[in-house]
Amino acid sequence: MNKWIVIAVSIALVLSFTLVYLLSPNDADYLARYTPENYVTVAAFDVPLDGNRIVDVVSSVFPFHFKTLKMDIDRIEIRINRNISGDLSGYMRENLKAELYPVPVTYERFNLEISFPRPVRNYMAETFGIVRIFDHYNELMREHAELMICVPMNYEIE
Amino acid sequence: MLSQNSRLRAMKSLLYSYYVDFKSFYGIYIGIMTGLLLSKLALSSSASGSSSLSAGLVNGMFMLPIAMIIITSNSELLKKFSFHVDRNMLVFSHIILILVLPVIMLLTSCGFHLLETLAAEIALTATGNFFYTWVITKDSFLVGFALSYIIMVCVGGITWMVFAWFYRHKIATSVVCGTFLLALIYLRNFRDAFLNLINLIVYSPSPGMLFLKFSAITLISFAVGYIPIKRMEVK
Amino acid sequence: MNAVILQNLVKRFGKKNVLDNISLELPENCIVGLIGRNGAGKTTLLKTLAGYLRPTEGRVTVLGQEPFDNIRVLSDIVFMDDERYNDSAVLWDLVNQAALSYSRFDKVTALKLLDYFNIPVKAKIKKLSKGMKTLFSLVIALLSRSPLTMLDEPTIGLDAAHRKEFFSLLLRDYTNHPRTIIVSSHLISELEGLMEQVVLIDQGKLIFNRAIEDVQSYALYLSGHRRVLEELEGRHSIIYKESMGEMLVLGVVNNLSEEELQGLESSGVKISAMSVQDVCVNLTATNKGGVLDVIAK
Repeated sequence: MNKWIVIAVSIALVLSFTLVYLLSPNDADYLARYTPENYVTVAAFDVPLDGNRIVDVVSSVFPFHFKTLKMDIDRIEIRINRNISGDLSGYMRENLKAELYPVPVTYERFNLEISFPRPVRNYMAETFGIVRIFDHYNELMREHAELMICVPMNYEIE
Repeated sequence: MLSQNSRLRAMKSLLYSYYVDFKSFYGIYIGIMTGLLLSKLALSSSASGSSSLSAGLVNGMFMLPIAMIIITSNSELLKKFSFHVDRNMLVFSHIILILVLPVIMLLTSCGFHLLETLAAEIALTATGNFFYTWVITKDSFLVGFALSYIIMVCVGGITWMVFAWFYRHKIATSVVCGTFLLALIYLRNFRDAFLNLINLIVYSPSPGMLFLKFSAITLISFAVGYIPIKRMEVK
Repeated sequence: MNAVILQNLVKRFGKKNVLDNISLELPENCIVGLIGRNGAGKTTLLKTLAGYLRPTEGRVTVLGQEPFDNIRVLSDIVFMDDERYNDSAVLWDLVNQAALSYSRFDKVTALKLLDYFNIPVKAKIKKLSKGMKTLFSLVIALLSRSPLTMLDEPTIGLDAAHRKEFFSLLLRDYTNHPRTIIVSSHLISELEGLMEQVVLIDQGKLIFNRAIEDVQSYALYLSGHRRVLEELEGRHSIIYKESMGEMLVLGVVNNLSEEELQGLESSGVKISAMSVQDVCVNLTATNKGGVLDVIAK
């Protein structure tokens, strides 16, 4: 291999590293993308505020991820993060089908079923998986969720 | 002065030969990474693709030990003596390989990561059901890079050390390694103690501490692996 | 100054003495033929000189220093045998490596020679024929112009024309750039015109280390009637003996006086010089008889 090719490849490799670094936000900016204000509601359900108040998410949202949050609201909401490349919120608004129903017979819990048309592809440009052995980074990475299910303060979600 | 000059010449020549040898190694690495990238892009069903950064680490963790098994073999070392080298230089060049190859592999995985992102951007404009997110922070990237690097170096160093002994003292090394493995399988106390030791090493309050622990293991491996190569004859 | 000094060199593999108490001195700037049968220890001796092997006992000095793991000496040594290079190596890369390694390496001439021998420099070693591989190794070894150049069986795989060219090249390059060249080979007759010094070893032991002129006059063939020649057996060292009825052929170490020679001639004994090849073969012959005796039994 010509030495100029070696030099060019070396520069390209260093540039790749630098670019990935520069394209990455710092921890605070990253976390800011996943605050509740960055999620838009695509589905909402009025729910009774008495009873056992437990919601089970019974369907998979693969290939997306969801997190849950108790909020000062009086309904159950499915929200989509606005910072996902590709207008996920618009896509979900059009295609998401969600159903909330009380578990028959006992009526003590609610089942939440979420579905959307597949195939759908979700690519996550993830960092080195090895950092997850540290709690700090594990929690940081778990902040990332395309979907957020918000429940009233007196509800439990599992 | 004369000695310095000949040492420098020999070192340059040796590194040149390893550079030539490792062009094909790098080609294989690039091939595997490209294969992974293409297979990820070709997936048509619902998928959540993980990035090339972690794939680079896993790929390197397999390839680097294989490279170490090859370069410590008698036949490979004999070829290196085609041109004059001394054993210190040989060990030094191996250490350079162990230290430099992971950097190159990880930097390459950064390049593939960018290619992947570019492909994602293109897919984004072409289809309506494709989405992607950048789940990397500056801090996690740097720490991940450093830890991936030192783990690869450590695994490479340990493999190098084991096979530097194995090729020179096959029976003794086999007996030691075989006894160790059997003890690991059949002696519960030994296994627990070993796992505790691993736990002790891996569990670290900070990435810096983990880096230091792996560095220490690597240094010990280099020192132990140096002994048989320093004494070896080229047959 | 001597290029090589061996003092009671012993090299043992397991319990076997491959080199057994060898002491010799080889002067600078001469071509030495290292002669011996298969398994005599030639390659082991060369590898010890090249710093590959550590002497079990005794002392090896090459260009004033011990060669094992000594880069200062090794940088002045080139050792060529038939298993030098990695099969997957490209010739061009090896030429570049030689240029990096040897300060005196003549890359321009090397490339010219490779072109002359029709050896493609962009090819891999494994694509070359046996003869081409040998030629390539020889070009690298010769043009490194190392003060100690060691060639182990350098003509393996070469046809007669290439052997002739190689010997001419060796001689010309040696004349222009004098250095110590040790050539180990079975083709003693072809080497005879080149060698200035002959080292003969057998079963790890040094048989002799002599100037070529001494070896050429080392022994005589005497061919005549058994009755005349049998008288010599007690008085002279016989290294070859063959009976043909009443006729006897003896190989005798040449310490016969003028009178003895004249006496033998007058008794009808034919006297001829023993070639270097025959000297070496006879001195290293086993005591098992010839291969034909084995078949006869």
